[in-house]
Amino acid sequence: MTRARSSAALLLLFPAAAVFSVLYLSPLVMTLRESLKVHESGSIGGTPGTWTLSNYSDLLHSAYGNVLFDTFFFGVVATLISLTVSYPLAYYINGVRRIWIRKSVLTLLVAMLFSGGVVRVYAIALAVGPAGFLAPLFSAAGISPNAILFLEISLIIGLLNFTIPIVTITLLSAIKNIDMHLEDAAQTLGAPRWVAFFDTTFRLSIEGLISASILSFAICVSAFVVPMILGRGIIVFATNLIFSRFAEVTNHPSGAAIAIVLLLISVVIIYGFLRLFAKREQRAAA
Amino acid sequence: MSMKSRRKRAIDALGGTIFFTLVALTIAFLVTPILMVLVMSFDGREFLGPFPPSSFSLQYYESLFGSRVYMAGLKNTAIIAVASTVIACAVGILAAFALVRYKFPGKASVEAFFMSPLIVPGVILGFSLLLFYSAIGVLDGMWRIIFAHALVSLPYTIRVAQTSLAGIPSTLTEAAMSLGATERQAFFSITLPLARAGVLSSGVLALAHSIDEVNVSIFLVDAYTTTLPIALLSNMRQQFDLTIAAASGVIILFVVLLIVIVDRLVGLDKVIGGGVHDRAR
Repeated sequence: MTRARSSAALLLLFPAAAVFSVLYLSPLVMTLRESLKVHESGSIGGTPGTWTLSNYSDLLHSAYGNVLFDTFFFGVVATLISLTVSYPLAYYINGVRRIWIRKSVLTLLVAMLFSGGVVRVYAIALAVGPAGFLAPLFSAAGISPNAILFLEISLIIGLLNFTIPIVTITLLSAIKNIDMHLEDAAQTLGAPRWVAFFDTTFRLSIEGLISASILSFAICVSAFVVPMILGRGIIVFATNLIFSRFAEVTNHPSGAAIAIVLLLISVVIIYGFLRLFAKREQRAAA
Repeated sequence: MSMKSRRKRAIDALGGTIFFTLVALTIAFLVTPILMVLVMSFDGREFLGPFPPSSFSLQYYESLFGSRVYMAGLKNTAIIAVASTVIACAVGILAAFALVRYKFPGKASVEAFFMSPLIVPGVILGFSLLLFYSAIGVLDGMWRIIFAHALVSLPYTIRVAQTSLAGIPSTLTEAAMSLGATERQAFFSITLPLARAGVLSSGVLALAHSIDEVNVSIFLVDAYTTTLPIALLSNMRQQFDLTIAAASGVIILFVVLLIVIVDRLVGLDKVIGGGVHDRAR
């Protein structure tokens, strides 16, 4: 019986395992191999049978360092801002008593998750563009549309448009499971409202904050259309560099090396963040 | 009233004001760009003028539906979305069933492996799939993208199917089997119909995912096959034409329809996970 059952499990898992190993693992392994091949100018891919680390050492050049720095810097900034503005929003949705408000804000957030990335980037580009409603704000602040600061701000606005909905929904599902009576109790015992909030609800939602920041950071680091359109080729993310190695410069080994470095750094950061949290939890339990 | 409690009230009132302003600004920040695109898509002017438009017309919708590139892209997007969703749902449900009903060594690692594509940036998957497809000689853009989208949707369909299958008591299957049904019969006539809502919503998720996918597809399109979002993107890079606004209007309408379907099927609250101490219900 047990053997029959475990073979049934294997049979059911087989299609998924096949899809993942053929279309996910082997392509990634192929990218790793490609990144170690010699590239001769004029050809697209690497020369078969060769072996080199030069595709990686080329990345030590400061231009590439800047691209990686920008990728992670904007990821961190957008994540911090979206946590700050999404927490009040999630808290509000959780507490609002009028069902229709709750329902329409939720619908808006889910609609934003579902609606196309291209559509939303276009909307932001239109909003910061000369005909857009944000243009007067920029000119009032004295920021010219050609300034680097203009590009940086519109890039962050673009990233926030993607991170806020997912961060809010993640935080909302964390806050939903917290008993709001704790906050009421703290207030009854004399704590000011904000102290009551930070001592009960906020502390209990730290796990949600951690998963929300991981999600937000992962979205920013893998953003491609946002920097492509709103960075206008001046602010470049690692993803854009990989694409240009495929579409413009056609140097696959170099593109593969950038892909491997980007993947490794993001996995290390996400894993490190999770580990940090696990330690915290252990200490709290002890 | 004592000084102290008056000060406490003032701080609370200030905090409340900041809180509501922040919430209102955030909602406005999210809604305004999309609303602006919707209004601009009905612009009657021939050029990209300042907001709001001085006259209205359907000219950009006409040029959208009259464009051969966009319509071919729309057709490809529809075929790719349906085909990849069918593959992802079928494969995902089988795997989810195995993960929910059976215990086997290494189960946690298998689960983690199945979810791991979620942290790999789409561009890296697209680039790697390009190398892979070229090496094994799959050159047709349509097939390349169908299987790529099935892969990208699979973690979602597995996760959603797992949640909905976990809610079905295994005693029902056992009862059917004690009445003489085989395990397969029990799965198709008891478990699957009960998991219908979850299965359908994972399908909607996969559809929505495939329809706006760019990061992977952009590496895999060929000279004859392009998708709607990629056609829109390349148009956006060349000229800033309001036909894209009209296309956005159509896509938003479609998304709203999908959400209404999900809401009717399972309820939006379920999508984000039910709460234990939920005050609003």
